[in-house]
Amino acid sequence: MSGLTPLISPSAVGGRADEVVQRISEAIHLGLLGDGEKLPSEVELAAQFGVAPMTMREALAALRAEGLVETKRGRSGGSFVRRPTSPPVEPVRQRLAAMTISGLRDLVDEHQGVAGQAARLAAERASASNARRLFALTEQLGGAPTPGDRVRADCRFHIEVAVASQSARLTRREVGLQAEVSGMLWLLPESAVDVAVHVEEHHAIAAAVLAEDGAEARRLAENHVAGVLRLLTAAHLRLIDEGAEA
Amino acid sequence: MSQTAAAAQARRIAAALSEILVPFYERMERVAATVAATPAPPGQWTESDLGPVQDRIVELIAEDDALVGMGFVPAPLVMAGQERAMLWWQRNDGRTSRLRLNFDRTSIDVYDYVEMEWFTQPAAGQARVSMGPYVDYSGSELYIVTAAVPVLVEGRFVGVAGADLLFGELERRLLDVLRKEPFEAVIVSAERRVIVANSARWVLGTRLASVPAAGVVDGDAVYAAVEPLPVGTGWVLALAGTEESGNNFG
Repeated sequence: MSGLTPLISPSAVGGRADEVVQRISEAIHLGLLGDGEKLPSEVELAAQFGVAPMTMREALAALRAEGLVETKRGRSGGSFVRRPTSPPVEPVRQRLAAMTISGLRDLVDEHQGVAGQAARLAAERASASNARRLFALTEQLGGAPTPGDRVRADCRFHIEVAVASQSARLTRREVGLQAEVSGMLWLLPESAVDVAVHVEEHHAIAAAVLAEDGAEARRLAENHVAGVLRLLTAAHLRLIDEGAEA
Repeated sequence: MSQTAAAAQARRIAAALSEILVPFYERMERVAATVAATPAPPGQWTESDLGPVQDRIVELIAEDDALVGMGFVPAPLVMAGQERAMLWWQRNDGRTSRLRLNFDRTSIDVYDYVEMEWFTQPAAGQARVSMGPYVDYSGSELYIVTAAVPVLVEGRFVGVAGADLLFGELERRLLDVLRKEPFEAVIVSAERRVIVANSARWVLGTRLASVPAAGVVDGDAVYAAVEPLPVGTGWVLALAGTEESGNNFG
């Protein structure tokens, strides 16, 4: 019962400050770390990421410079998450443009495996509150006013499916995949996501989980992820076309 | 097989399993008693009024390695001027630190605990609650059980005292009891979830189609006896015998 810190360090980072910065900023933009949430101490964070305390200090300084973290002095002091209204778009655009179609397909292959299996297990294992939360997050996506809010609502839906599967490993994988996919999908106008279709698909997955229908939940989740591949491939093609013309 | 013999075995084992869980609830009940002893009336409590509660939590959380979180979670507006608040500590690698969450209810990140079952069930009058195990993506450990008891002041519900228990550790202790038994045994929660079993017949975390009942057939197993754990969390112990080895209950 707490902040989402454990999942921001799923696999070891290479010990470099910029990798830690990348992980923490992703967690903030995906909504895994809540706005205003207090981060663990420098020493605890360093231990969590497996980096030297000096490296962690450097990473926190970079996050402060980006305005993602604010450090207060004194008794109730510490480092607090400050989430900007909108995540930066240009680095995401460059990342999608730089990918290959085969790389995108491979990313989505992995995501289908994780999301499909998570949905099947969720249908067999979800608690009543998991299921309620899936419907609530579906609704939240429909009403999300900004692209940044959509990133968070979409990502939290998929992570909640993984949580409902009872598998900590699948959950960690899903978090990592959301960090890669979600921004490209929701922040770039080139991806042209139809929010209503997305909401409808989430709703169907939630309903299959509630109905404890594992085969159907898996099928729906796999189709949903396949749809994301089509959108991202089309967006990638648009971006390289524009790049060639420029 | 003898149903009576199986029932007697089930009572004995359920009692042994309970003894593993009861000390956790006793600690939460001590936190609850410390909260209830606060001199100021609920609704006007401040952080400093609850200083002794904080000391008690920090002391108790260090008593058992399975305790990864512990605290007092007040009902809305029990803390002066605060709709939501949480006096919760976490332990990680021997370090105890306070958990700070976002309670802004307009935010998509909001952690609205008043809707969580570990809060609603004690609020509805259940004396000892146990939720999970579940993947706590919002927690300090990944697979945990959240246990809770109500805190009452003059009969009025003012919040819950709770604890997060590292499931791997709990499982080890419960299995230590079960694995000594010569027959297949499974613990199932009130939400039909398999908590732990001494046999690969059941998959941990899975929800069974129905709560086990004595005499009921499940696959090629027959539940010979089903006994609630006396700790009172809604968990039941079920003993199974196969058709062939049905008379091994003594």
